[in-house]
Amino acid sequence: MRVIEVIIASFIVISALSFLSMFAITPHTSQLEVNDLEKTGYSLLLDLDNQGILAPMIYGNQESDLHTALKITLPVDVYFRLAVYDTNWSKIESINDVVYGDETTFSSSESIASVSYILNGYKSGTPGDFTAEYEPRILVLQLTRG
Amino acid sequence: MRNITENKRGQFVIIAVLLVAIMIVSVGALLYDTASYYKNEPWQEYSALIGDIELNSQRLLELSLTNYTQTSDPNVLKENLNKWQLDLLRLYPSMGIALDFSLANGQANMEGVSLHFSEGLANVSREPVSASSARASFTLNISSIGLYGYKFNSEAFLKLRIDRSEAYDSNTNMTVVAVNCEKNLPITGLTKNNFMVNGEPVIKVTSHYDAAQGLTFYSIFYTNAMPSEVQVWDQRGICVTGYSPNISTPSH
Repeated sequence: MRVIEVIIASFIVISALSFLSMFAITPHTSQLEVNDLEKTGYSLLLDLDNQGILAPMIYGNQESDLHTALKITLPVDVYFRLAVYDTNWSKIESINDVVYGDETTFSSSESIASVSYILNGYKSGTPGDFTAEYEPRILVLQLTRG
Repeated sequence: MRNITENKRGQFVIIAVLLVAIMIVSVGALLYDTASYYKNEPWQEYSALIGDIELNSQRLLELSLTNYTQTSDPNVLKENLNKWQLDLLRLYPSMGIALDFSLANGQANMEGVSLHFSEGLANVSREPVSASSARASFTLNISSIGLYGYKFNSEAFLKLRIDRSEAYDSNTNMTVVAVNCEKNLPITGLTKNNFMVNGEPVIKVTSHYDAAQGLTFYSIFYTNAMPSEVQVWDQRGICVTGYSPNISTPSH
C-alpha cells in the first residue's frame, strides 16, 4: 500500500515540475542580439549628444567625422547605417552616406536593431552673426553584427 | 481499526504532496511573470528617450537664449518650446508623450546678478556685471510606460564681469574680464574670436586662472578708446554685453 502512495506522490511532483518547465523562458538568440544592439545604439547616441559633438556633426553635415565617431565607438564587429530625417520624415540628403558594412550585411542579417534619436537644433554662423533656429532632426541608426 | 488509520496516513501524504505541487506551480508562475515582464520591457529605450528629451530641452533653452541675445525676440523660448512639445507628441505617437513646461517670470538672483525674467528669458547688459539667462521647469509624462510627473529644471546662463580697464601701451588698451556659466563655473577656451570691443574685433586675448577667486580671467587687447563696451559669445553662441566706466591706472 505504501509503495502505491509513494508512486502516486512522486508522479504528482514530477507532473508539477514538468508543467513548470513549459513556462521556462528561453528567448531566441536573435532577440537577445537585437536587445543588446539597441542598448549599445541608444547609449552611443546619448553619450555623443551629452558630450556636445553629435549636433555639430549632424547640422554641419560632417559625414566623415560622424562615420569615424561611430566606427571608433562601436565594437569592431558591429556594422551601422545612419539616416537623418526632418520632422516630416523626409530624408536629409546632405548627410545620408554614413554607412559601415555592405548593403548585403543588412539585407541578409536576421538581427537588425533600429534606434531613433531627436536633436532640436544647433547654432551656426560666427560671433556677432549667429543663427539659432529650432530645426529638429531625427536620427535613425541601424545596427547589426557582421 | 489499525488498517483504517494506516490508510488515512497514506491519504494525508498524498494531500501534502498535492499542496506542495500546487505551491511549486504557483511560485513558478509568479517567477515567470516577473522574469518575462522584465525581459519584454525595453528599459534602455525608455531611459534613452527620457535622457534625449531632458538633454534636448536644455539645448533648446540654450538655442533660444542664443537667438534672444541676437534678435531680442522675447517670445522665442515660448514658441520653440511649444513646437518641441508638439513635435514630441507627433514623432512618438504610440508613446503618449506629454511635455509640460513653465517659464520663469519675475525677479530672480542668479550667481550674484539680479535678473528680471519674462517668458523664461532675462538679460542685463552694459553693466560692470552683465548676464543673459533662460530658465524653465518641465514635467514629463509618458503614458505608454506609466511614467507620470517626471520633473526636471533647465537653465542656461552666461555672466560677464569686467574686472578692470587700463592702457597697456601707447597704442593698445586692455580690459580684464571673467566669464562664467551655470553654477558660476568659469568658461575656458575662449579666443579673440569670442570677444568684440565697441563692435570691433580685438587684437589678442590671453587668459589666466586665479585660484584664489576660482575664476578664469581673460585679458583683452584692443586699439579702441576706453571706457569700452565688451561683448562675449560663448561656445553655445550666447552673448553678453558689458560696460564699465572705470579706468584703472596701469599696474605694470
